[in-house]
Amino acid sequence: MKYILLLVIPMITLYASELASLLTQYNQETQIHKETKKESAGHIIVMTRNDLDRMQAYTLNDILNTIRMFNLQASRNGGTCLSFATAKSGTVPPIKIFINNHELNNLTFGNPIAQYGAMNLYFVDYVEIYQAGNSVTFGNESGSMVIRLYTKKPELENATYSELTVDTRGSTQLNILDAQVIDSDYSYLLNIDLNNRNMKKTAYQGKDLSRDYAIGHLFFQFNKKNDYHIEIGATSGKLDLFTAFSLSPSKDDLRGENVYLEVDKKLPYKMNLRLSASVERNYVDYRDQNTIALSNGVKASSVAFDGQTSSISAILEKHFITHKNDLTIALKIKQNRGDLESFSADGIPYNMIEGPTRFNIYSIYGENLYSFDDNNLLTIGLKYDYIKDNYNAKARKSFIYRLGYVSHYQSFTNKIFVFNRQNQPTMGEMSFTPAKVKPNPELDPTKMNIVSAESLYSFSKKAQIGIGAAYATVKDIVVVDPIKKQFVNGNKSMEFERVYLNINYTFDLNNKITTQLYKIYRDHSVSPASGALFQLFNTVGKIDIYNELVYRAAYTNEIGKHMHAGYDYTIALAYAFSKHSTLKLKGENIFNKASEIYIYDNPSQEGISVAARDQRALLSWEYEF
Amino acid sequence: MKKLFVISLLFTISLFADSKTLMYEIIGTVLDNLSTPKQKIIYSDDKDLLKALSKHYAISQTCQESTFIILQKEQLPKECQSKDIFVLNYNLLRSVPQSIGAFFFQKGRANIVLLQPKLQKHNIKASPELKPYLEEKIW
Repeated sequence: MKYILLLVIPMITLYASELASLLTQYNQETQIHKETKKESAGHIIVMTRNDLDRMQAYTLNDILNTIRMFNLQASRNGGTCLSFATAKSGTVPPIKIFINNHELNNLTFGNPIAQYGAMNLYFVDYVEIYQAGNSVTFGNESGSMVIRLYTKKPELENATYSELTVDTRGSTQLNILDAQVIDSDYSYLLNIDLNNRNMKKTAYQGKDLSRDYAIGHLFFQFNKKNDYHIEIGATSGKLDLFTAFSLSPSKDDLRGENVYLEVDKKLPYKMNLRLSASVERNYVDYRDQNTIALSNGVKASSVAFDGQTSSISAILEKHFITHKNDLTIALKIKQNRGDLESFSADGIPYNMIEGPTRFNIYSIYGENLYSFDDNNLLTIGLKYDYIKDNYNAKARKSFIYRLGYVSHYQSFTNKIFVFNRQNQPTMGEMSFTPAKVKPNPELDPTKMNIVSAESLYSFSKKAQIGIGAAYATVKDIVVVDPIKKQFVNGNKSMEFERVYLNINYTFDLNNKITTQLYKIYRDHSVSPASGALFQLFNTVGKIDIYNELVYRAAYTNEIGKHMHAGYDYTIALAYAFSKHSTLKLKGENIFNKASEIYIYDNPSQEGISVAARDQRALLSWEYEF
Repeated sequence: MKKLFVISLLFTISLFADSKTLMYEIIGTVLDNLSTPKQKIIYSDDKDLLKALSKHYAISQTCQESTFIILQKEQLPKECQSKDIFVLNYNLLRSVPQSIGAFFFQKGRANIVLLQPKLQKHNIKASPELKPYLEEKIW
């Protein structure tokens, strides 16, 4: 404390003349992302609240679009998916998304972005993205990238505010947030989001293909300081399924609901208990102008089904902290369950389940951070999973490790991670797929070995450059056997290298520029293998200005179709015309040149090209009550 | 433990120091720009703040002997409730109705509010530097 006072005293006598400037500096210094950022957990991208506000990031897709080494793509199902650069469009890497400590599940397809990409970010304070070697203490099954969304803290909000947004396609979105401290110990956050989104219709053979959606989302959190927090999230919506089964739908409705509950309780002796439950239900009503081939070999022109998945888990964590060690050990029990309540094709019911529907997962994991000194840290993480399902006699066992070394010397920060990963097949791949491809209950997990390194150099407080590289080998990749029309483990192993470069320059507290460049080296690439991001944040008087350009390289897809390079340019302006009101204007995909994917039913027939984000302009009014 | 904290969060401690420094600097600037009828003798239940201010202002270890109170959380005895009170918490601005202003977080950002009617009642004059922070009422 003494040294704080030593700093304070001379500064108090100086008293900077600009109170507004001091407040801006203070707001920068007290941004809460600094509390959770875990340098030893991977290569991190942080989007602060200030960044998100100025980016006018309305949905999760707005930030996913900027992530290096991934391509945000339109999905055949009408939503979006985030595919690894070079991979076939629609290939779903195991990306893990957390709201605070709760992992958002998608048990059927393993792709939470399908439901949550359109999720509003109004209740989110900041975002951390961990690439390569995410810490086992996050508690998730192994994934390629972890995206952590941290919600706003009621004690820093003390307000009720709302935002109304309209766009040039006739969409409307209303958000209302209320966050208060009830007395010094209790607080809550309530967020309600109603989103009616109209997307550009894609014409195909005289018909318009729609991917419009309407979603309502509720988030409620109740906290007792230093004791527990309870969190409830619920989403209900309907979605036009676009081209999920074919390019010739005559009706393609999906209705879905999901709800989760998470309780986090601090226990004595530095222990923590986390209980979580989630349920998701989807109803599909689909009719086609022609017939579609189902995974059981039947051909039908209409399909209706009602499926439910659920997950419950308990995690008990214990921390041991000594002079040089910070050890976390945890036990986790989780049950994932998928039930197909009904399935019919042309009105005839079928049993489409071919594999396990219940998975009991027992995990033990631990991670130690060992400090050699103030500037050198070694991290070792181990995780063992025992997975028993209700179909296969033999249990699956998975063991993963992660070694990391982080050093800081003068202006250099260096990180290196060596780790393996086992991505378990999804329920969709093992047990149930409605159309075209048969599931395979015998699938093995995909196995990866990865080495990744990153070096960051700060020229000054204003300028920073970062260079990263990784090498990975992958085997037992889940692919579709074109003859059996079934998911199988590919017998070829694959390897790839990737490199990236970041350059950030901060002009002053309100003005900065960030750039990212990356390239993936892989033998067989069928989506953009390189890309770039340029972000320019400016404040001129009372106006915040944001410019963003997302570049994705041209590529040739899996059927030899050449796809043009993508230039997704966004500009956002915000003007606070009073303490309580802000007017915002944003243009997305302004040149209508964003990277596209090619969707086809048959390589010999014409398909359609679609970008993940429409060209549109948005106008928002935010009001604080 | 400290070493571990430093390396795992990479300089969080120094950032914390900076934010405390800035907060004290902000409060000092507000005080400097408020002219009170009596000499300011400061009392605060935030002892670190009080120590920091002691180099520039007369301070008191009790609210009774002070003329200007900067309140973080404690409840004031009756005899102190009519003094000039500046609070460091949004809820206190509502629960201590005589407070003349506050430094607090709202919508994730630090704010300063000085209530014009309360300043007038206490015969306190705010310099032009504080004009952007003057409000007629708590919103």
